[in-house]
Amino acid sequence: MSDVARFEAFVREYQDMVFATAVRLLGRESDAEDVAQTVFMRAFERLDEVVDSPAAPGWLKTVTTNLCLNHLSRYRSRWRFFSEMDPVRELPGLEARIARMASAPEAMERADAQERLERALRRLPEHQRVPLVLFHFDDMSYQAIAEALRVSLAKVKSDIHRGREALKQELSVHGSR
Amino acid sequence: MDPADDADLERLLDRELKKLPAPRAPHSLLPRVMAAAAGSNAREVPATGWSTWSPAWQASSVAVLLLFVATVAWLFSAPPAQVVETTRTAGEIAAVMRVFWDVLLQPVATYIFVLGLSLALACAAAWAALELALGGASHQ
Repeated sequence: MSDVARFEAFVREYQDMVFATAVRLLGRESDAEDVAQTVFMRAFERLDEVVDSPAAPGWLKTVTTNLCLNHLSRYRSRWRFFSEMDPVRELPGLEARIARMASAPEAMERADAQERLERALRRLPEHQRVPLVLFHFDDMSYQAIAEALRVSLAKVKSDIHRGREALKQELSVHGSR
Repeated sequence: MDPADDADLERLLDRELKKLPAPRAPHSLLPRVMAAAAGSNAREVPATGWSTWSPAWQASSVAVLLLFVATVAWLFSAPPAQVVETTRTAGEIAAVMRVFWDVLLQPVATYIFVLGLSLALACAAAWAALELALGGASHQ
């Protein structure tokens, strides 16, 4: 198998994981796509080391997280400005999923709730969303998050708590309907 | 804040968030990455220095260089009659051209230049006058 074919298979296998990590940290699909491309180009530069390694998923996740944190610190002011002008878009695939599940109301309701939670997560302010995602999706400790974000442990705990409260409201508002 | 409530909320959200389906990468990502990888490959300029050539090519290039140097040295030390004759003919042609320029062209070159310039200016003036007379109708 040629290097190009190996690399293409590698990208196909891990693109969803890399993109999911990036989009949840960054909150914007276009930025997540840019970061995902950079991550895979890093992998391409060390093709033989990475592609067939069993540590590839962990390596990809770490590089994605680091690049996202760099991206956020570099473009923080610009992000804040544009995020107010660019509301979270309808998540892709929702309509198709609803159409597929039209005959299964419970499954549809479940998918709808998940869609809302995902959207609420992406709508959280950056200082709440990033530590929350690192804690729940990357299984990082509060201390590790504080070190990664270069903020105090108390701030991480407080931001995560506020983020959870916001998501809880989202869950309870729609759950009580 | 009640620690028990916090712990419950953390567990509840952890469960709900981990159940979320992972967002799918957009269809445009794979082509973008592959195009960037192809571009990155293309930008890598292969090493082309003499030291990277194969021994056969290195030997051939040395042989060609030596042959060239020997030929030049031989031409300067004892030029063959044909080369001398060609050089002399070229010199004669150059002398004829110079005479042709000095006698026929140089005396009238200034007048031809002035005449050409005057004609160009007259054409430009006529065109501007025509534009003015037509009131820019050609632009409408």
